[in-house]
Amino acid sequence: MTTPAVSEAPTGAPLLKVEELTVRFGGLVAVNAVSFSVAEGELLGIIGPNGAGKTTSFNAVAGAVRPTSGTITLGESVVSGLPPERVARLGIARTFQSVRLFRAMSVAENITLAASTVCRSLTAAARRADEVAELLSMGSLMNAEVGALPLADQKRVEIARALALRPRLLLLDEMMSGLNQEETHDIIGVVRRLGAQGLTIIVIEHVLKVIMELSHRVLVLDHGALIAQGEPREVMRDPQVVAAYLGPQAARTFGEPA
Amino acid sequence: MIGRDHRIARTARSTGGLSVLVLVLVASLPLWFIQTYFVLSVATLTLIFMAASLGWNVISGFGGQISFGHSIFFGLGAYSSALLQAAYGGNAYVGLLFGVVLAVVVALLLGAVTLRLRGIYFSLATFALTLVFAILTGHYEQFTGGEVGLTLPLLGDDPGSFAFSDKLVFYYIALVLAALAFAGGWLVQRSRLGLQLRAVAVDQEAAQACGVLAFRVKLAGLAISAVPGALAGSVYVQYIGFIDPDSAFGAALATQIAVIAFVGGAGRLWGPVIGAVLLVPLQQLLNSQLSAYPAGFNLVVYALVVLVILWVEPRGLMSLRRRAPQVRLTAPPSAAAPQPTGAAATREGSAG
Repeated sequence: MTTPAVSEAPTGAPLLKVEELTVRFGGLVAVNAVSFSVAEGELLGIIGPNGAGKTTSFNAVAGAVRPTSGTITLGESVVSGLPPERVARLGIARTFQSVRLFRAMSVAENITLAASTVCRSLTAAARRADEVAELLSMGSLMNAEVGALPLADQKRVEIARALALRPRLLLLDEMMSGLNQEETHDIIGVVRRLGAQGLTIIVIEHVLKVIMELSHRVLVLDHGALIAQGEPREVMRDPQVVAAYLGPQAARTFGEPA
Repeated sequence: MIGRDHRIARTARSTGGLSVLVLVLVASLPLWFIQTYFVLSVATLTLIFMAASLGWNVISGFGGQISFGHSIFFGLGAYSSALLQAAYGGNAYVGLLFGVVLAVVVALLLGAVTLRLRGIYFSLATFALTLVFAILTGHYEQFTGGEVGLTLPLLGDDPGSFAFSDKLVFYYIALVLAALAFAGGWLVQRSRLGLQLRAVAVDQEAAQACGVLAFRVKLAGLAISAVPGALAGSVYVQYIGFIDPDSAFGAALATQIAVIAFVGGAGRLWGPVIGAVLLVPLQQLLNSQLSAYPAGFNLVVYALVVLVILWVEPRGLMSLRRRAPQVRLTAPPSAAAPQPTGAAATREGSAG
C-alpha cells in the first residue's frame, strides 16, 4: 500500500552541516552535541519522542534559538548565531508546528509578504506569490482570508509562504498534526513533488508512517541526543530506537532478532 | 491570480474616489455649515488632531506597536515652530520644516531603544518619554519659556510668517495637512513597508521567519509616523498662538492621539478620520458646556463615551460597518492560532 519510498538518496555535497550543536535552556539540555549533515536534494526525516529536542534543533537551524555551542553551516555561510530574518534571507525557510499565518490577511498577502523580503518590488513579490500558488495549485484560494480556511489549506499556505522565499532548504515541522488521512496524503504528495524538483527538505514528524514514506534518511533524537541515523527501514529495526519509542520491554520483544 | 489584482485595483479606486468626495465635502463646509467662529475653531482642531492620529496609525495601527507618546512629535513640531519665531525671530515655515526633521531624528533615536521592547513595555516607555519631554521643557525656562509657555508675537496678517487674520485660512491649511497625512497613510498601507508592518503586528516571529527585518521595519514606521505629528504641532501652535509643556507633551494629548484612532479603528485607514470627527468636537463641546458644574464633569462624560464605544466594538467604529478582523493588537504570538480542528473534522465527515 505504501508507495515505494523516494528515489535513491542523493549523495551530493552537504548543503547543511550541523556540528556539535548544543542548546541549553538554563539547566535543561534540550539538544546535546548533535552533528549531522544534509545533502543537496535530500529529504531528511527527524523523529523522536516528545521532548527529544526535534523542534529545538529546528529552531536553532532557523535562527529562532541561539545555539549554546556548535556550528551550523549552509553551503559556505555560517548561519549559527544569525537572527532568524537573516537566516531566512540566506535560504532556510520554515513552517511552524502550530500554524502561524498572518490571520487577518488574505492568502495572497501572506505569500506576497514572504516574497517581498527577497524580491525587488512589491509587484515582483506579487508575481512570485502567483508562481508559488500555481506550483501548489492553490490559485483559487488566493483571495480567501487565511483565518477562514480549513487547517489543511492553512498548512499549504504555510508551505507556499516558505517557498516564496526561494529557499535552498525547507524545514517542515509536524505538518501532519491535526490532519486526517486524506489530507495527510495530500501534503505528503506536495512534499514529494518539491523533493522531486530537487529541493532539500528536513521533516520533523510524529507519524512514523509519514517519515517512512518520505525520507531518504532518518535521524532519531532522544533526550536531546542523536541515537541513530540511516535509512528509514534500517533505523526502525534499531533496538535503541524501539526502546526510545516503546520502552525497553518492547525492544526485547520486537527488536532486531539475533 | 486574476482575482487579487482586480481586488486591489477595486479597493484602490474606491478609496481614491471616496477620499476625494470627502475632501470636497469638508472643503465646502465653510460655505454652508460652518457659521460661527466656535464651529470653525472646532473643525480646525479636528483636522489638526486627525492628522496627528493618522500619523500614529502607521506605527501603532498598521505596525501594532502602540505608542502613548506621539505627543513627543507633536510637541517638537510645536516648539520648533514657536521657539524659532518667538525667541529668535526666525521664519515659521523654516520652524515647521525644522520640527519635522527634529521629530524624525528623535523618532529614530527613541525607536532604536524602545522598539526593542514589545507590547505594553513599548507603550509604557513611550508614555514615560513624553512626560520626560514635558518636564525638560518646563525646566529649561530661559530657552523654552518654562511652565508659563510661549506666546507667539501678534503679527496680524502676514502670510510670509504663517500669520493670517482670517481664521478660515487655518481651516484650509489644517485640511491640506489632514489630507496629506491620509494620503501618506494610504501610500504606506499599499507599500511593501505597510505589508511588512502588518505582518509584524500580527506575529513578529513568523514575520522574521519570512525574512522581515522586523526592527528596521518598525523603525521606518515610527520615523514616518512622526512626520504628520510634527506638522500638526506646528500648525496647532501657529493657529492657537500659544504652547506650554502640558499642551505639547502632556498625558492628555499623548492619550488623545491614540484614543482618536482606537475609537475610529486602529489599523484602518479611515479609523483616525472617523475618530477625530467624533471625539474632537465632542471634547470641545463638553469643555465649553460642562466643564464648570461640577468641575471636570466634561472629562467624565468624554471618558464614558469612549468606554461605551470601545465596549460595543473594541476594534473601533470602522469595524461596526463590516465586522471583519483587521489588526489584533493584543494577541501574543505564542498564544496565536488555536488549531481549528473543527474544520478538519467537518471535512472528514463530508468526505465519508
